Amino acid sequence: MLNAQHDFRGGLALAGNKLYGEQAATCAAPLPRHLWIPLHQHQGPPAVPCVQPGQHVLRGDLIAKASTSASVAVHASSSGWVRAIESRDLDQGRSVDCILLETDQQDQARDEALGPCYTDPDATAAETIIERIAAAGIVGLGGASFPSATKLRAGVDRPTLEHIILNGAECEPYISCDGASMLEDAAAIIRGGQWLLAASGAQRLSIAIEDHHQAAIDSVNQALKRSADARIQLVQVPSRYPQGGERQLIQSLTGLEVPLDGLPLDLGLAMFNVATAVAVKQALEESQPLTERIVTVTGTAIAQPRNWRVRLGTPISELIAASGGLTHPDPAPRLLMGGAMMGVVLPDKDVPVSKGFNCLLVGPPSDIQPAAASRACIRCGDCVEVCPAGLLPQQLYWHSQAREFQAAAKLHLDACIECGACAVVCPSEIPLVQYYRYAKAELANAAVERRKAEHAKARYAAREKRLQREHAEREAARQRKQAALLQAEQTAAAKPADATSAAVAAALAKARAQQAKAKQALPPAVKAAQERARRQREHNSGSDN
Amino acid sequence: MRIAGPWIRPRRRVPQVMLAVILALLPGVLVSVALQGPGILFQLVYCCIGALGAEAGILRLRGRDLSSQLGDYSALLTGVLLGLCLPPWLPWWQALLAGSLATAVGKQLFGGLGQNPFNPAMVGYVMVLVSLPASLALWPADTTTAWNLPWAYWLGLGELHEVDAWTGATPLDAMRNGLRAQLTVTEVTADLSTDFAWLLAVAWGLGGVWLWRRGLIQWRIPIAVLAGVALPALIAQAVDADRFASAGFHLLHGATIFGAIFIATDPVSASTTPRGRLIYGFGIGLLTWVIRSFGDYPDGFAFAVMLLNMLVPVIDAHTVPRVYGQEHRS
Repeated sequence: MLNAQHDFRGGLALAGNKLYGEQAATCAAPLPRHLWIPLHQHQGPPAVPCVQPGQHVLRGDLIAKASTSASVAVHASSSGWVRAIESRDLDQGRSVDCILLETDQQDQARDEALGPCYTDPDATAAETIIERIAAAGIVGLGGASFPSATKLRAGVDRPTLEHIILNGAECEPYISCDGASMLEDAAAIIRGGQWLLAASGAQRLSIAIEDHHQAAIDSVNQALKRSADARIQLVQVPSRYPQGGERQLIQSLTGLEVPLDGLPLDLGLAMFNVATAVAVKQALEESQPLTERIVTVTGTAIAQPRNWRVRLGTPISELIAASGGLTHPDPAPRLLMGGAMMGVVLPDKDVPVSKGFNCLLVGPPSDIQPAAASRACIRCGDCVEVCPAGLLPQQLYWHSQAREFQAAAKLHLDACIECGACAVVCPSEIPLVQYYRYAKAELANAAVERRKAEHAKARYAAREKRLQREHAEREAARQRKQAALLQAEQTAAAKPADATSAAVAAALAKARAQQAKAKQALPPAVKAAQERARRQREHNSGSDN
Repeated sequence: MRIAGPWIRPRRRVPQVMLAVILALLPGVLVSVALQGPGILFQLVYCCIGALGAEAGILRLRGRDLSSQLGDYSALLTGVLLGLCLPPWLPWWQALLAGSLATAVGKQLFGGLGQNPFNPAMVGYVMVLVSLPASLALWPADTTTAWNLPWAYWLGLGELHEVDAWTGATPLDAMRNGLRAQLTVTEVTADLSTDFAWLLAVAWGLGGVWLWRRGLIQWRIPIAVLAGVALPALIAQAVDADRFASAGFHLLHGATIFGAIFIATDPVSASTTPRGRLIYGFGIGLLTWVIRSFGDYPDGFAFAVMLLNMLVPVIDAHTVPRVYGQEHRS
């Protein structure tokens, strides 16, 4: 075991609040009557359903296919009947289509749902492993839900991927699901790590755990000794928020910073959550897709806080009930997905658990409370001290508040990881992260608008060109015609003997005379209208230039 | 409606920050009273009444909620800081005026808490200093005299008699006048009466260390201010020890220690970037030394702070820290 040789900037010590969950072994949460399995529980486009209402499925059956290479497959979390495809509100106002599965309570699993089980990472082709990870619908279980196969594929394109990091630095107060993984599935974590090494061709694997988490360190260390794999090392990192952030952990372990608009891959690194490694192991060795995850159910309003193994699609109301309900009756308790720092508000108790759902945090308003009214910023600079990205949070706030989004962008608002460290030390209790999200959204909108405007400008320029060309062609044709007429007149005048041309000339002259007469005979209103039309034509052709 | 985290109470709120600074001033206040008599306490009271009164008046005019804004204690802190800058024998109405100018002109005219470009206490101080220069010489000649003044004077009922006999030059005054009269530094310091300045410096320092330990002030500004005073003083001393006071003299006298810890660190009007704060602090120290050594005012601290306040936008714009993942500037 090693200690981290480096450190990340800023950050702050937070009270652990992990008094729960880790005392008891993780149990399977009760299987509910109905599961609402979201089609969109990952970064990238939603999956496309491939089952019909009424169809009976077993656990592990594919129920929605990945729509594109950036999408992720979804599988049945238990056996039962597909009843409907219904929309449900998830976090942050997202409404997502879910497959409603009525469970038959048999909980039958499909044997080898993904094909044959593999046993030896070193004897399995990298592409086979990556395909299996994709087929199993595996995404990052740390919360970001990025498709794991995509991460590995990008690594295949860059043969420089040499170091894989398993992230067990669970720095958020209240969350302990990764801790439960490390205590109970340490061998599977190591095994999953070996599969990831084989899939990526990397030669080194580091497992990072915060130094205050002695039990997890011991557990993983023992499993590591048993595996006797020299490529794998356990690294203790300081317990400081946001140590578990991808970029911060990379800095702690390697001393390197991921480039501003780059990826860890640029440094030859890829990072996976420890629970993701467990899912990888299950996909390859047991041929089981991702159909459950560990969820921490905690908060002062929960009677018996603990970690549960939860089938994807379970409504959170079931988890609250399984954890002994609420400590005191509250018609609308504050429900958060995630921890006390970055957690997002959930609309109601019907929200189903999805792949990225790491923690359900329920508290009375007194405990997990929104600030009352925030005061004016006094520029104390506490936020500058704790920002792990080295930003100037207060200046970003001043600019966002004044709608000077470009100025905020210039101060690298895009480097903000929204960890909330600045907001938690703000003595004025300004909801800083909210301001940054707003500014980021405005900047994104502005970029879209700019692209639209450029597109419209290009279209307009093309149209202008076409009109000019057509105008020039018409003008050329008119001149050719005029020249031909002139020619004809001249020849007619030159050869009176030529009866035909004389006749033509005479007819032309007559026609002209008649036209002139007709023009004179027109009523003034018609003349004016004609004149207006002519002017309009000229005006139109004039504006073409 | 708050939709984004964090969902944890902050370590401290603005009122607690302000109160902690007031608390950190206590040792210095006690030492000041011991050395300069009860006058300081009256100045504190008058300044606070002025500061809070003006703040309340303007908040009323602006149609703001009085209780929450007065309850942040920022106006109270302004009053306390200003009271500690003023001479103990200043007439009561001038202290009241300074206090009200500090919050009215120094803060509320710019839009209230967090919006003021200048340090409000310094605004009040400088306005009185420039308008009524004679008043700011009303320092007691020595500790004995300091306690002899009739109480009626503090309540605005008596006149200050025998001013010349009772008020004395501050050490900085004495130094400036002495040097102008072609005395050497050594001769001037020999003439100074028993000097307890170090006691006051220690008291302010105690408060400062406590604030720093509790994370309420950061080290950069105070250390940079002290360096900004001491470095040029050391150089000048090396060049001509007879015509330039020592670094120690500059650090111990006037507003140096008090200002470095309690005035220059006012977050609202100071630079906000880590490197910027070093430049800002050093600039204040340097200007203070320049004004003391070559200017017409015995102590230049207030002017130095306000001049650097003006430079903050420039300093901040040029000291943006490198963010995570950004190329190192070559």
